Amino acid sequence: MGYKILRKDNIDSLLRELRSKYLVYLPSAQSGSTCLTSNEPSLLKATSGNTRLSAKEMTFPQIELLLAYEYKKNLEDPFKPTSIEVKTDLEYEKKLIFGARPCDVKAIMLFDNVYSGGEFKDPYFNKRKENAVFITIGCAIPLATCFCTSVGCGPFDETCSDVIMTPLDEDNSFLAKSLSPVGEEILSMNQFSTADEKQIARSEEMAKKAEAGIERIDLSGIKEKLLANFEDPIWEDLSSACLNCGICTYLCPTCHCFNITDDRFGLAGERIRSWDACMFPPFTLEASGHNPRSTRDKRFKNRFNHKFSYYPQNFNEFLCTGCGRCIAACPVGIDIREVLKRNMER
Amino acid sequence: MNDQLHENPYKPETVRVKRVINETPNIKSFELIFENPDRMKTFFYMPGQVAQLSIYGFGESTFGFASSPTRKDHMLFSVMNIGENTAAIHELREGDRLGFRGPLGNWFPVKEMKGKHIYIIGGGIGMAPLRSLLVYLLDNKKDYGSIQLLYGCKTPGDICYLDDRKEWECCDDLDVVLTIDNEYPGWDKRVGFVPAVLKEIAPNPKNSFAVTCGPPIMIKYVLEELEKLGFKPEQIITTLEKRMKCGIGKCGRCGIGNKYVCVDGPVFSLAQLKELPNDL
Repeated sequence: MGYKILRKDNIDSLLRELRSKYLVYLPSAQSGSTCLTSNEPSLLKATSGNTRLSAKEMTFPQIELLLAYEYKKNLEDPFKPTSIEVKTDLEYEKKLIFGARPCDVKAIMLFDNVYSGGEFKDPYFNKRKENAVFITIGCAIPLATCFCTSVGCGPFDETCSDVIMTPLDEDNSFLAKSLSPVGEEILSMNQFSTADEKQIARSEEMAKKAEAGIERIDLSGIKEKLLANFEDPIWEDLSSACLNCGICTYLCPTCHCFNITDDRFGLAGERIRSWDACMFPPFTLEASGHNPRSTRDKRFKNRFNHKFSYYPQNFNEFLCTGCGRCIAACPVGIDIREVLKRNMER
Repeated sequence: MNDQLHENPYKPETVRVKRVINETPNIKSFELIFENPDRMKTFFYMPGQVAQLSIYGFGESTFGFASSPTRKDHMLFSVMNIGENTAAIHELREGDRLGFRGPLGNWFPVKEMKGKHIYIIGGGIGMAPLRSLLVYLLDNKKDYGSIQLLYGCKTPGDICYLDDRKEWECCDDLDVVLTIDNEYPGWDKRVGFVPAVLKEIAPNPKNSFAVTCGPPIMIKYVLEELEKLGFKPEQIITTLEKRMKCGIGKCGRCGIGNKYVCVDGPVFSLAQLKELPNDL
């Protein structure tokens, strides 16, 4: 598909125009908070590092309304049965996410395997995904915690993006490549100008360099290895520092587990879903009091096994994009790469 | 196919309580019907499948059908009062409405079981999905060999489905063995834990299937005992319980290895379980 040049001076005017059609999300530049936000005026921080929170909340909000209910009592005749009205609302605004990272956007495909696969499709996720446009910025300077190339992703991965951009700093521009009909349409806006061969070659060069700069770990056979190591005492050692705080799952762009709870206000209320994590004991606690993952090491182990063995058995991909957020944020310094390497050595 | 369930699998249908049966001090059974009688006629499920029952404002929990699809007058669910939602379900009276999502999950291999002798081994509330199977087998008796039921409870007062016992005990094709954990005044049937009684009655593995459900610890020893009796892992069927939320394989809660109990189960053969990590 086509290449275009977007001069940085034109970004503000482009954003103004896009805002008339979409709710535009940008990486926030407020200090102490680096998430994607819809009230950020300009694209300041988009070219360095990752946002602290991943882009998963664009299609899978932390808290989401599944349905609203109301019990209707018959006040005239209290002996008549109470009826229940249940309402669902799947009308979401059109979103455009400008400046997300390729790894975060690829995570949508990994979500999709679960949320659109099998007998039942998840209408909430799917509607949000349909309503979202992703303009991704490739990572010219990967972070020390990045390991995307080891898990089937990369600093310029194009999966699920509508447009991918490469920063060409010496031209004070981005090279933009359209990857979908919507992306094509955006690139036809008059803020974009023609790209020349040299610029395309330079961007390819940059992608290669970025890829080469990322540490690779050999994960061939990890799927079987983890199953074989299920009862291995190594897990006690690996998990000994873990606090089960759940920050790794919270920041992870691919952790897709959730809880469903009801809120009630008198006779009416809401059923909501919210992010949940296998790090927490109540996640698997059964009504009888039995808990299959009653200890810390069992919960810890599940996180790695799900991402690198169970999910790959079903979908032939790792449930990880190598963004490195869990490494950077872990309060006790647990490094997912080390956990995997130690398992590979067993 | 259940179209509403496929359009939005999180949105329950509304069902009505037709009758409440007080089974034991902490178990009630609920006969449920759809508001629309046509829906009742066309609604289809299989023994072993589950449904989510919700009391709005309290939550949603998973229960196995205790009724058989061969009897279409109502669906039956047996609920032990053990948490917030089940306590709210226990408050339901005849005529009350509640949310219903189902059927979900897989079912007992009733096709493969055809022509075989069937041993059903249940403990406590674990009898609920087995009742569905038992009634189904009795209603299709000509397709199956002999049927034996071993059903164990803590005390005589914990035994469910007293109404059915009359039908079951008079039935020539069905041998019922009841057991309780400890001696009890007036109890003239067997005494002992289910795995121990199973060893005593020693069912013959030849040309048969054994199906079990009960508390996790009972299942564990029953599976071991069945293997000792010579049953092959493919002949041993169990239905699992796990904490569930969505019931459609998305929320990630009921995973064992690469399987989810809600969509790949709840029914598994021991042969299948042996392939999975020990995460029960």
